[in-house]
Amino acid sequence: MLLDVLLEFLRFGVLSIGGGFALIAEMKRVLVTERSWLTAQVFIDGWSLGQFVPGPNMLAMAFYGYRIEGLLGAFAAWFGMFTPGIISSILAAKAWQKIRHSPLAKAFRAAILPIGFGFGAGGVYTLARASIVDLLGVGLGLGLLVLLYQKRLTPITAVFLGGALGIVLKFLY
Amino acid sequence: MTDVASKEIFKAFLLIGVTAFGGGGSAHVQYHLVERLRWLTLEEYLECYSMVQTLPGPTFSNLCTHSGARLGGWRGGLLAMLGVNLPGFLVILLLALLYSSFGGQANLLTGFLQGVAITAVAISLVALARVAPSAFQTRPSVLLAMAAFLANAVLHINILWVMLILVPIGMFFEYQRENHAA
Repeated sequence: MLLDVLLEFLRFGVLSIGGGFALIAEMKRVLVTERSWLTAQVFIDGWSLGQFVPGPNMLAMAFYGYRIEGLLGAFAAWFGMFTPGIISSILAAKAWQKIRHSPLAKAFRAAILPIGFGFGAGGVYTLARASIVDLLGVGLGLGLLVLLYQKRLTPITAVFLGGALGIVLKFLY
Repeated sequence: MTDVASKEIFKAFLLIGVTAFGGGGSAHVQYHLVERLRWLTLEEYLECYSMVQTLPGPTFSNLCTHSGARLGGWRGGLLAMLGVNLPGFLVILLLALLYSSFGGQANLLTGFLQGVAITAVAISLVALARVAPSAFQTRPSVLLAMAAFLANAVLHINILWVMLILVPIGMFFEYQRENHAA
């Protein structure tokens, strides 16, 4: 069973090129329908908790693993999901040090910088559409934007300020 | 790019691992590595960010591992990965233990999460604005960024396909430009 958990999450880890979000549907299919390891409700709750905890939101995998097979399951699920990325990230850094001065690498770099920026902008757009649902949200976002850009508020302070204001707004309205 | 001691790498990423939540984690990495510590230039950061889009696995963890490995070899990569994963891993284990017994504090939690998610948008916008000059050094680069944005956020095409199509186009533009300059 533990090995099954490890192998399924390892498969997710290998398949999730460009991040875990592309795999939500596939994970739900395997974990909820095919394997019946989790209920749909636990799957969704685990996903939200992954957004809540600091660090990678794919830490939701550790939550799933814990629900399936306890503490060892949590480690197995985390290990499976994250290891392919860890290995390839380090290998990519090593390889890049060797080739970065070649003309091909320079052209590659010129191409991926704007493309990466486009993906980054896409991420912000998706995040904004999911999180800003009313005028209050727009106001909060703009206020924080001014503080961050003009007053050089650090992201850490902004996160706690934004979270606190979110609680206040929730109770007022 | 500076060579950084392992201990410093671990400390920096542990701080990111504690404070980056609610999405937009890469903006935190940019802030700490480029603005606060000056270990990477804006361009090097954007290079790391763009490169990990092509790798398997969670992008944010990969961004940390990859930039850690650039700063301190494989040891730096592993320590960056550990620093950024450990705090959240412990928190989510705790939440998994308590899972059956919480509820009731839902308003507090959802309010906080909504506020944090909106903050993540603001943090990411500022990070994008700061990195824009590095992304847009040539005229075709604006078109490439727009195409990547549309394919990713509006048309929801798998990132791998977008890369396979756009990277060769971008490289072609770059070769043309180089030949004109020469």
